[in-house]
Amino acid sequence: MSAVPLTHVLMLSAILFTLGMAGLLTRRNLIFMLMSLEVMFNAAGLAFIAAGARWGQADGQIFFILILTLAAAEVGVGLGLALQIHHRFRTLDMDKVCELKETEP
Amino acid sequence: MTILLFYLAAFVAVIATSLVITRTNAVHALIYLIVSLLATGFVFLLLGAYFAALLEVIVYAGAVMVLFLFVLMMLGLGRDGEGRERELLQPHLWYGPAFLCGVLLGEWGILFLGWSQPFPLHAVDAKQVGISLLGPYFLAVELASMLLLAGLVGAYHLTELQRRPGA
Amino acid sequence: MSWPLPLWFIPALPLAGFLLLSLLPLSSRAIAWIGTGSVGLAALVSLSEILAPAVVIHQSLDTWMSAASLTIPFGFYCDGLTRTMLGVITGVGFLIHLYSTAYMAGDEGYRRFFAAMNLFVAAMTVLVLADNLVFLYLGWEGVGLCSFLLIGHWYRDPANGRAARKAFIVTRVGDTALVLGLFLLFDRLGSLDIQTLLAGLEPHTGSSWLKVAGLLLLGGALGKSAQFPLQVWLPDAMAGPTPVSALIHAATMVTAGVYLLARLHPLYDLVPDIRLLVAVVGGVTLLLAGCSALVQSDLKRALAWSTISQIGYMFLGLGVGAWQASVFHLMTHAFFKALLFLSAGVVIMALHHQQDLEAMGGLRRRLPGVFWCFLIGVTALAALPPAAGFFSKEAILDRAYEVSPGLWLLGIGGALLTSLYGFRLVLRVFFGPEKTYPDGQRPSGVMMMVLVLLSGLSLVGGLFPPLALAEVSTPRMISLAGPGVSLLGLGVAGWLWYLRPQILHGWRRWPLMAVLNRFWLDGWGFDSLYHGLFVQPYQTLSRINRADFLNLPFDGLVGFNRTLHAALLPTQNGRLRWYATGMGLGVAVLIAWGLCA
Repeated sequence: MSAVPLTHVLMLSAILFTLGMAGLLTRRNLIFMLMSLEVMFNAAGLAFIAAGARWGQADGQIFFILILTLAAAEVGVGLGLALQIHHRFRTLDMDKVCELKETEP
Repeated sequence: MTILLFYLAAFVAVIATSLVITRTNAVHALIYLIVSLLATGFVFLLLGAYFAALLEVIVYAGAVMVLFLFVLMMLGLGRDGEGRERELLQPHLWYGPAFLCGVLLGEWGILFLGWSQPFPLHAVDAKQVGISLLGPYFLAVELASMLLLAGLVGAYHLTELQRRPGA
Repeated sequence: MSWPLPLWFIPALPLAGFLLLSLLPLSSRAIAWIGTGSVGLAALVSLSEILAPAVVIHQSLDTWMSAASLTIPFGFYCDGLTRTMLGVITGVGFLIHLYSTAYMAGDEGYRRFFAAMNLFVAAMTVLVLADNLVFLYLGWEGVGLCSFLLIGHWYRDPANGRAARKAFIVTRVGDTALVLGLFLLFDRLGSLDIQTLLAGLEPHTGSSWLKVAGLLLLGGALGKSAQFPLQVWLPDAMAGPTPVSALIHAATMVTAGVYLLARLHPLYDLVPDIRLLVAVVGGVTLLLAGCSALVQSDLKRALAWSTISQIGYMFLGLGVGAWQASVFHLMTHAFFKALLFLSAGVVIMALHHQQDLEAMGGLRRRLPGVFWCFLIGVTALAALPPAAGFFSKEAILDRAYEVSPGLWLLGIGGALLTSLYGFRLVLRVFFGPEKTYPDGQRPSGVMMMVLVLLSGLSLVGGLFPPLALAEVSTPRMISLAGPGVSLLGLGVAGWLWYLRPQILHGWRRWPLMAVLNRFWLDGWGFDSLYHGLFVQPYQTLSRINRADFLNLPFDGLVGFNRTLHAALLPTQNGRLRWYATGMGLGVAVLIAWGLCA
């Protein structure tokens, strides 16, 4: 029985992370951006689990749990923001919501 | 054998994720995201992280994704909700997710029937994780609880939809 | 409380008055009471000092500053000279405050006026009470500040503001010299306590630095006392209210220079060259200012030139070593010049703030009380016996004759001029045809009371030379020359301005006389000279350097930051994806760098 090589798991993790990042950078809808963020979190978690499994340590899973916590909090706040933005701007297009734009003084 | 299962699950995860970021309909994207998370959970299982795999399915694919779904419904992205419901019930939309889930189910069956084994040498069980969590990582747990509290308060505050002045 | 009261009461009372007046919103009645009362109380304390046994009192209140070997206390020193000055400042000051309560009534700056006047009295008493030169300098600058504030009292007229600035800046030239003199003295003698300083001078007789120190201190005195060549500010200072002219620019502040030189007279005794220079400056100033006073068409400006001329006498006295006589003259001058200014104030008020002599005449019958007061003042000014000016001026001329007949001649010439311009004013204001009917404000009882008191002092003040001063006069034949020329001046004045005014009209037609008239009217052209020599080059320099080249590096820095800001502005476009891309690229670069390293 051969173990899954660590490199391959990390490659999977990198692919998922890159896909998430590509989604984050290309999509304009806030909901899709949040989903892409979830993908990226997940990819990071995968890397931790793989490393933890490779050395038989619990730390990898603990960090996964912390990432999970972070993701839960992030989703709570992010979706709240999405609701608020939709309420105020009647859109979720992040390119149209640019109130922080700096104008010439 | 196990390594083949891994590659298959990885393949499912990549395909599902690619579909997530390319869908135009948010609900479809969400369904593929769940598939992707399930596939990742399966990879955890293969790596011997049973506890993490369970959490992935319960917390991620379950709770967090349901939260997404709620918000999507609240925003009413399909204005005529009924038409959207009808659209969602069209069978051809379910072929993709169903197929990918089927693949994962098959893999799980193989494991379940004992034709293949996860990597028991590297398995880290829930007990070890628990001991570490409440031992050396106690401070991190406290920090995480703070984070969740802040997220709770933030979410509560942000979702208060007071009327815009003049609107 | 011990008797006499501590010396610090004298400046502290007007200072308290100043604080009360500037901090509290008061009714005009309360302002008058506080403003006059504080100076009155200070005058009472001063009187107790004057009547006390004539001993030298030295009191130290606290340490003001202490650094290495330099220790400056809030020290008060009181001897005969200080007592005389205190009597003049608080006594005449009190009378002028009393007069002001009526004169300034209804002025919108009533409170401000009395606050500044009280501060002035406080600063001036500090000046004469200080036991060290730094504390003296505090009072010195304090009176300068109050002079500035009061000349510009009616600040809505820009001309008054200009006059105030001019006074401040010109005296500042002298003050700078004074400070340099203090530095030099401290550097060489290691102390600024006046008595220690004077006691330690003896071994340095004949050293050149002592001459330089004497010159620098003289510079300070010249600026403050409006002596040649820094006399230009005083005629313009008449822009202030008349009581200010009487108190600050006639009786007290302008004599601070005389006080300084009298206080430091042992220093000048050691440097005869510089002392002679003081005499020459005084002689030149008294002639120069006398000629200018002769042709002025503005009543107050004529009196201002007269003040410069009289202070010239005091400097002459200081220069010939008769510092007691100078201080005596300072005292009598304070009486009669305050009287003249306050009488002029009544005339000006009665004529609706008309100061032009052309518009005056024949007021003798309309304002008889003021006429007699003014006449007494001019008699004292012209040094005719038995008025006060006679005794003090004779004392100075007497000593000048002993030292040098040339200086005596200057003094006698000045006496002739003094008599001429003095009686010219009397004749033009109170005699001749009536030109303007004085239907303005009549003098109140308080004002007339002050005038009568000052008239009395001007008449009999000369009989009481300051008790603590040494014997000042010994009668001799030459002493008759002074009253002689004064009577001559009276005669000529009567002839020119009363009996035969057409002679003057004839003279006016001579081009030379017209030019001379113009020249003297402008104060010998010093204003235009200084304007061309200092003001204009400075303004030209300022115009050339309008952009201030020293600022260029800083402006460049600002410009650079602005350019950078403009360049980076588009990156702040408020787009979430743009920021995310930036972060992603940054992380990618960092990771790539980390991998390569």
